[in-house]
Amino acid sequence: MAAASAQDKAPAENGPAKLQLVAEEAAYQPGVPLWVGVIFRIDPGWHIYWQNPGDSGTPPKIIWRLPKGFRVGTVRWPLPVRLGKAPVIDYGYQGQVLLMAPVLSPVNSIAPAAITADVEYVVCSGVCIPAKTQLTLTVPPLPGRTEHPSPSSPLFEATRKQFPRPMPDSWDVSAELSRKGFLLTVNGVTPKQNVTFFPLDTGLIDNAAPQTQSAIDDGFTLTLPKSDLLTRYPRNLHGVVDIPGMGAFEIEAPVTAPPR
Amino acid sequence: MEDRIMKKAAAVLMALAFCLALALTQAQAARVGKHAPDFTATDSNGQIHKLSDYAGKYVVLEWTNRGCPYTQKHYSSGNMQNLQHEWTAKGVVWLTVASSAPGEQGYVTAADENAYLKQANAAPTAALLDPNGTLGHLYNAKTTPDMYVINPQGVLIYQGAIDDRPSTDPSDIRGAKNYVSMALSEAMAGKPVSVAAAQPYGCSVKYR
Repeated sequence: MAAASAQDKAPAENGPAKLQLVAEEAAYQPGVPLWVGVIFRIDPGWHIYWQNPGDSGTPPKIIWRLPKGFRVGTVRWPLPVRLGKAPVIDYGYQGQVLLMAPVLSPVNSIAPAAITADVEYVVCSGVCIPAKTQLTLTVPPLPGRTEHPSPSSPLFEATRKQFPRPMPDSWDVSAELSRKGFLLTVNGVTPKQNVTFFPLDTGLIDNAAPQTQSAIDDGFTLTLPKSDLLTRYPRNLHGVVDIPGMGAFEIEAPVTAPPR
Repeated sequence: MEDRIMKKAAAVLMALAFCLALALTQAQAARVGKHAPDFTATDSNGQIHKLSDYAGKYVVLEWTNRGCPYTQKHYSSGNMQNLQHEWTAKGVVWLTVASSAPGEQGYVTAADENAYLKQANAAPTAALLDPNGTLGHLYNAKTTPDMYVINPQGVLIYQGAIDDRPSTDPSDIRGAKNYVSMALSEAMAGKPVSVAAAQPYGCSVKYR
């Protein structure tokens, strides 16, 4: 494997993605969640992957190391874009993306928060390069109720706007699974433009197949041809619907057989 | 006038033939539990292989791209070669398939491929060269690696990931559930295949 070993060991700093560990606040308030995250600055033509990478690739993995008594929540994933060309369609990010998670400190913490993120990721264009890097950040404590925005604070705010939101209570979602695939029905919203469905589970839909939208009374349907790999009957069709002009919403549609 | 009608008729016939060919390819798509589509492909020694030649044997198809880090995970560790040695010794026909188009990563000439197989101590029954992606598209192979297991009756009994650890890290191989070995062991023991499909992981196949 001599030919490609140079790629394997490419240090992150020289690769197509530059990574930086940042915090939303310049100082943390003990007992109050502090959002930290990894910024990926990705060269043009390259991409990294969403939590469901689609047909190829793998999502970045972040392993956090925190001082004793600190805890970290799960990473929040902004809405991805569709990448690649049929028959291989992926979900991921180009340009710049921030993957953030909340860190909770003990209420009586007085020590600086030394945070380490071990990041493993694959960055691809025509080819893929795996990389591993360790990032560190220290945030001092500052008791009291005031906020101390860091220079990265606006990026955290902007990134939150790209998170899929919970589905509004006024919506009703369901999915029928026939031999061809899923018919997703969403009631309670009438999109003006084409909606895109991003599956959160792998192996359910054919990622490369066109998604056909139809308007119905008080809603819309989307046909989602099923994946070749679907051999079991899924309980839910879990994913994100992106509605241009309205935003992205996470849905979990119960799957039923079509009426006879 | 007659000439024009003939031309029109020929065009209609061509269109019909095209539709029929398309219908056939669609009908023949690889699906777990169904007959695996037959194919004809040439290997790195110029030998022609047809799936139907191997009726009565288990056949493994392994999509490969030696420049892909997910493929390298299984070759630099020796995992893929071990699987090839182990299963071909048990009578399994193991065919690697290189569907990268010329100019793309993983495209190989016959001579390159033979030198590589020797250097890597790889032991597939044959290395199929598929630079037009015909075989890749027939099986709808998406990644390298992407694995298919066909039983002696010609039925596709497994499709997808090589194992349950989607990563490029060779240290993940130890302790991973190898779905190809599981499918072969279970089927040979007369048991149902417990995992018949799993989302493949890897680089995209570098089709034209």
